Amino acid sequence: MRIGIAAENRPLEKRVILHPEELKSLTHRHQVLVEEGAGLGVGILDAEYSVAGCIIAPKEKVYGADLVVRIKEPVAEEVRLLKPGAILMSMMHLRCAPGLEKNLVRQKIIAVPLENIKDPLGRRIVEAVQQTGSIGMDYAFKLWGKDPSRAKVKIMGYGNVAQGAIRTAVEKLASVEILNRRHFSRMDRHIPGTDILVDAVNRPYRRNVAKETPFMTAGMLKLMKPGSVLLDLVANPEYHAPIETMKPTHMKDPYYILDGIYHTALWGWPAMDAINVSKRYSLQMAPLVRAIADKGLDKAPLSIRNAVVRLDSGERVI
Amino acid sequence: MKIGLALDDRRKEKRVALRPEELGELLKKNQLYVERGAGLGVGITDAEYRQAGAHVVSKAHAYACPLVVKLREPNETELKMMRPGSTLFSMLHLNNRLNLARLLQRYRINSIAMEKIKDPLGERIIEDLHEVGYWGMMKGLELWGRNPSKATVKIMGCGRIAFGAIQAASRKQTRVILLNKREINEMYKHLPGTDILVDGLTWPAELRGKIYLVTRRMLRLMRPGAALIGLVSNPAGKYPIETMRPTTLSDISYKMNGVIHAACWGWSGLDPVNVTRRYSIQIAPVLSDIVKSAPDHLPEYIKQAMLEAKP
Repeated sequence: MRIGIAAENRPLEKRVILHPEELKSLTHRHQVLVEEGAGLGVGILDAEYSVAGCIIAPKEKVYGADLVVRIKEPVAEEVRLLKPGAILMSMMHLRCAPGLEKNLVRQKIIAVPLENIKDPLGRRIVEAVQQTGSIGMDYAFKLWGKDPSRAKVKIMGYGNVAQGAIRTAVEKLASVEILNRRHFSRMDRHIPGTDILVDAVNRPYRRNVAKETPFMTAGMLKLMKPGSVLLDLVANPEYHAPIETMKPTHMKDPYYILDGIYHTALWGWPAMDAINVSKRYSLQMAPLVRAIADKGLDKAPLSIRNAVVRLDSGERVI
Repeated sequence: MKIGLALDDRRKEKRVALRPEELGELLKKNQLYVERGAGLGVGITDAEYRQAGAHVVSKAHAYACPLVVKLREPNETELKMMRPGSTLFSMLHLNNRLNLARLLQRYRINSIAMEKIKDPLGERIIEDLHEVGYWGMMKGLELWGRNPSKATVKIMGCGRIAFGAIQAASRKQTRVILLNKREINEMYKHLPGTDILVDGLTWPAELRGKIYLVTRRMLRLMRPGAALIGLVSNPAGKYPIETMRPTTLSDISYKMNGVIHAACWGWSGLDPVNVTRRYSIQIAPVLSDIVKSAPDHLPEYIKQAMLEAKP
């Protein structure tokens, strides 16, 4: 099977889905095309891919493969380069991306959204969920700028993302308290004295609601000391965040200051630690790509078959 | 290959390593010999194993298979029933159990330690750490006995076990505070006002019985009726809490100086059915990999967990 490893869209996305070490086990049985410069963002040279037995190729060739693999979903022009009937593996979140679905349907693509691949216990296989929490927490300490062991950190939520943040804060010797549902309605009591407030609450996104009721209102900003930090780990759309004044931010401008309080809500925290997260994905992805390449999609393990969306033959998400 | 599925000692353990649901793939090319009554602790009858294609046999017969699967480590009587050169697949923790390591050598039994089976990222594949923390915390709240949302819970440690406890306590809407490395060394400051103190620390062997974070004298700093919960067991039975000793599911807690103590060996046994499901789903694919390959061609991740008996 011809496998294409596509580059992500620079300059802001530096990661690459598969590293040479993990591709070695594929190249003796399959042709692996790697897009020129795909690994440069995490310090991997084209030559290193060549040594691992890959072929360095231009974008058009890579997207012309039977199986195309990358981290983030391709843009419209890239989708047009895919050949009909090809398999695309990438993060897709099709439910939130009707445009992408339409393009992939037109191109007759078999989609394997990475976020759909689950192990038999229902846990995502390709993920950096805890990393999201810990990278975000690290960045919040950086914004705060003082010795983390003097920080009073309060964390809303206790899921997997929160776990990463909790662990990082505890390891940096901060005082850490977890806030749960009972506390959310009385945030005015819990904000005073907090240096870093972390939102890791997983609230379902309700498209038909124009503005969700926030837990922490704009008026409560003045309860925090100037220079305090509000960190959003779950990338809520504007007007849907539990913190009223929070808006999604991007790698180019990861934070903004409002009433003397830092706000940061990066869309895609893992991108901030490109090298480590990229390696993690590569280790998680290699066995999956190998299974599809060796056995074909129909004989791949159940975890993969369950994730497939046959956009080429009528299946739809929306 | 003939695989023996052994019964775990019912007095301490209700769970079983494999359920009939997960046997499909395995039984295509292998035979499974299930010890009589192996699943009864979680409501799986012998008939259900038979229906799935396994044979139900005596203890001696199950242990005579070239590969024996069991959740907890076997005792010496059970090891003696195994044949020299056969393989045992179970939780072993040999670093903490030097005697077991010696017995395996004496009876020339190869072993594959379930706790050492890791995925490419180095995470344990066969584990119930989260469940241990979750059920330990739930029981702790129950032993404390008042409305959980009124409790102040402080947690030492932030590993996977501790996270189970954080999740349980937060679901019950208690106030949860984490204690970091500096804070656990100044417990006299943090015990006042604590209703439930949770120990989720992996206490290193060299500190066991030598250093205590919570001493006997500190107990009076806690509120009356407060509870101390030990989540992480170790074979030495020595905890960072001086007055803590191991308890069991049948005798889960005791009181000392008015403070409830509980450090159950195997907290997740409180939810045996779900934990068995979890283990079975985790164990079956690894077992398939073990029997698929010749002993000297095992996949790397299994080799790393294997200890061969010297001939």
